[in-house]
Amino acid sequence: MKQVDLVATGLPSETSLLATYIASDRTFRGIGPRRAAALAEALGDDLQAAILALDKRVIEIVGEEPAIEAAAAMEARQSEVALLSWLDDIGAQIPTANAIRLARAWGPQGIEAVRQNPYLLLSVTSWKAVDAIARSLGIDDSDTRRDAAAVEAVLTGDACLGVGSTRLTVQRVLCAAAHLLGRPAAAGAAQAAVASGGAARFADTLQPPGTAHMEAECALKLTRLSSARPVLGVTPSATLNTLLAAYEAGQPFPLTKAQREAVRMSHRHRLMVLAGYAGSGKTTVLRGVCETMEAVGRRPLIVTLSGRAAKRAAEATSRRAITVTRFLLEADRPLSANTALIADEASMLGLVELWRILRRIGDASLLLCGDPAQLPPVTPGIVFHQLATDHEVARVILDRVHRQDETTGIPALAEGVRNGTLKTLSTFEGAQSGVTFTPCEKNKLTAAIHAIGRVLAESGMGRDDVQIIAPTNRDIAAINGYFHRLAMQRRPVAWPRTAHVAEGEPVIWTRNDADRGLTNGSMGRILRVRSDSITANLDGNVHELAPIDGSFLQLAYAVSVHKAQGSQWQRVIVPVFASRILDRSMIYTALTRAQEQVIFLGDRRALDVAVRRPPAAERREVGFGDWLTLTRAKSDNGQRDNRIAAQL
Amino acid sequence: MTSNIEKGRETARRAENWAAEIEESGRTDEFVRAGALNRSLVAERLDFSRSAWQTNPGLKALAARLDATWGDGKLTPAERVSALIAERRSAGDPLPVLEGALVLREIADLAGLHYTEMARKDVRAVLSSYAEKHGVAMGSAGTVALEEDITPSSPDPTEMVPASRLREAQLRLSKAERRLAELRAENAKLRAQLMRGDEVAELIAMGARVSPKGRS
Repeated sequence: MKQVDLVATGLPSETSLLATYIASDRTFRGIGPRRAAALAEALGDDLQAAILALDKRVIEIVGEEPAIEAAAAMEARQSEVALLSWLDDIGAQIPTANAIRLARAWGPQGIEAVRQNPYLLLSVTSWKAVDAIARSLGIDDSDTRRDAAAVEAVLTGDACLGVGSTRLTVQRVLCAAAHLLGRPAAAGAAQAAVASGGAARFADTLQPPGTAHMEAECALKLTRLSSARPVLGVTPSATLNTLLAAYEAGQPFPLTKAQREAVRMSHRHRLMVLAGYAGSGKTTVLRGVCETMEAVGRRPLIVTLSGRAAKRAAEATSRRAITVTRFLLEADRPLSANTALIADEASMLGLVELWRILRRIGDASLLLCGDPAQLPPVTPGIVFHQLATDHEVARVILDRVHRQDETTGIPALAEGVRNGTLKTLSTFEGAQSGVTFTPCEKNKLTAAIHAIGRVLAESGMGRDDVQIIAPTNRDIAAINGYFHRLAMQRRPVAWPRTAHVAEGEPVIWTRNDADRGLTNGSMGRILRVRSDSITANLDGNVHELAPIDGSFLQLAYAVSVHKAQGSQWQRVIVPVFASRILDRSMIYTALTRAQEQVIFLGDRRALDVAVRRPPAAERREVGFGDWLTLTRAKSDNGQRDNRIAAQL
Repeated sequence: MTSNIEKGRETARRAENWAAEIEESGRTDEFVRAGALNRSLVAERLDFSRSAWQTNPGLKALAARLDATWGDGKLTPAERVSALIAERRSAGDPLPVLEGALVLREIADLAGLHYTEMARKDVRAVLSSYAEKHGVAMGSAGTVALEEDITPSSPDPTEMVPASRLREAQLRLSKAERRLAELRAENAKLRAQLMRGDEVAELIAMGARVSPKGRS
């Protein structure tokens, strides 16, 4: 029997959920997939009753002891089993794990709740599948529940969350809902969705309730933090001046006024935003913050989204830096007052990540440090970019390019891109500092990159000093495929069975695995392949991998701009062709991954169009700013009322 | 036509009435074995199938009550099985065996246990010890083999670990991960409730009352 684990299609199921549940749940000891399949075939719809009654057919198939254990398990989980059986009966092809999760969460009320409103199943399956189930249960086309559910499906679908937004105008929602419904949405559809808990309203916008909740909670917490001093008190000015002077004395160049002010402000405010563009000296400030904090008995803790960024932050500051994932795993209680939490590359943090961090902030101070000109987060929401322009939050903007970085020309060019301009660039001539552009036709891209690579290698460039950063998945696939085929011509030892990567090839790890110290985005190279184990260097650490880990490794001759965020290489090669996803922030992010040389190649016109296009973060519809405004208004009213009350 | 549910209720009512008669006549000892109600005997007397004690809710409740009031309700399930073994031994009878395996459901009936009680660790330990001592299997084997009991027709020489063992480990891992995720979610939810209070809910309610501005 074929196991269904796809998004529901509304077609009759081939394998019952109940049989799959019995096969996979270890409480049903002694019954695996073969025995479960045999039971399902022999007993059909009577499976549950037969197990409970210890039917002799059950005993015959699985043996008496497993039959008795199954009866005991079935009796203990009757409510779960009842929901699964009912879902089978109505032909709901829901992935087994989701159905079991649903059954455990909703318990005995589950069946009745879904009978009353089948659209509750939207939380585990698609609109199309749920609508089919609802219609089969007799829900009329014009039923209010259908309209409300369509609104919810729009908000959680591609139109809103799918593009990184956290809200849409009511008008846009109703228009999109009409496509799902096959007719105009009812006049009260938005209200019905809010009433049923499928949406939250703010003025003339609707949000998925989860994101509304998170944005509101972030707004409340950040407002409270921004008006507070550090719990352990403000470092006295005299002390801070002495510490700052000592720190500055150890630096190769004097700090700028803005850098000094940033370090001071981190000691005066519980929440501080440090917005630093490429080459503006953010890392120098972070080191200063860490050193001065430690001198007054505080404990700086740096968190980043990616493992690679954490490694860079640790190297740059000589302090402990961990990923947000590891931080959330380790922090089993709120942080203490002596902790100064520093979220580096904060522009990569989406709403959910920041919400999770804030839930553990406890009495600690928070410094959000990042570059607001870079790409928005991969996950929905925008918080850092908004705070970076908020006048009521303690913030410092570092935008002055430092002398030591001016020789490459990269920071100056990046500043131009930030403002929507890109000057004429010379063509690539070899390994040298600076930014170049070389015209290239799309069908000649891989050959052109290969030629550039040979020139760089001849000048003594190491393989790991250069990275290709491609904006589109199509270009990434073409480049990786081309270089993989070249590599395989040398007949290296390839990954067992799949041969999708081989010894010596650059790779990227795509899964968080805190136990093994691996994070999604860890990059490196395959060192050695044996039949039963593979040695790889990822983020500077040697790891022993098993053949089964192959599904979490991808080639990394070229990586996406998102994956490259938070990392740096000496030189980067960036192919640019016309694409609707290309915008200013993508070009800026790719450009600022290089310490010394950027090699653009492709279509100059496409590059110019991209630089002129406003950044993706500005195109997202998010509610965080409005929630912040409302929180402050509420707080102001409260304070005014308190003052009035005090006068009475 | 009487439905099965109504028939079941009728059977339970007959059994209740019969039990009341036996109690009045003081003959409860005749229907107790190993400290619990002798379900086989009563089912035979009242002409219903033994399995009805498990599947009929009224009979199930009656059996539990009579175990406690007629029998010795203080015995644990494992103790009842031990008492049954001792009783059978003194009568020179072994526990029910068929084709070299204990007949567990019959043992359950004789000991006055529900099938689910037979799955308990302590009960299985008693029976397992008995089975080992008497050289019989713990319950009949099934006709369909478990995955790990199947010898692969052509072993894969490159496979260092049998696929079945890997699958089992993966199933255990995924179950553990699921349970961990459930516990984490529950913990997070409870913490959130404590930390948030009503403040966020109040703010969201305020947001819903904000009047729309003119938007293009």
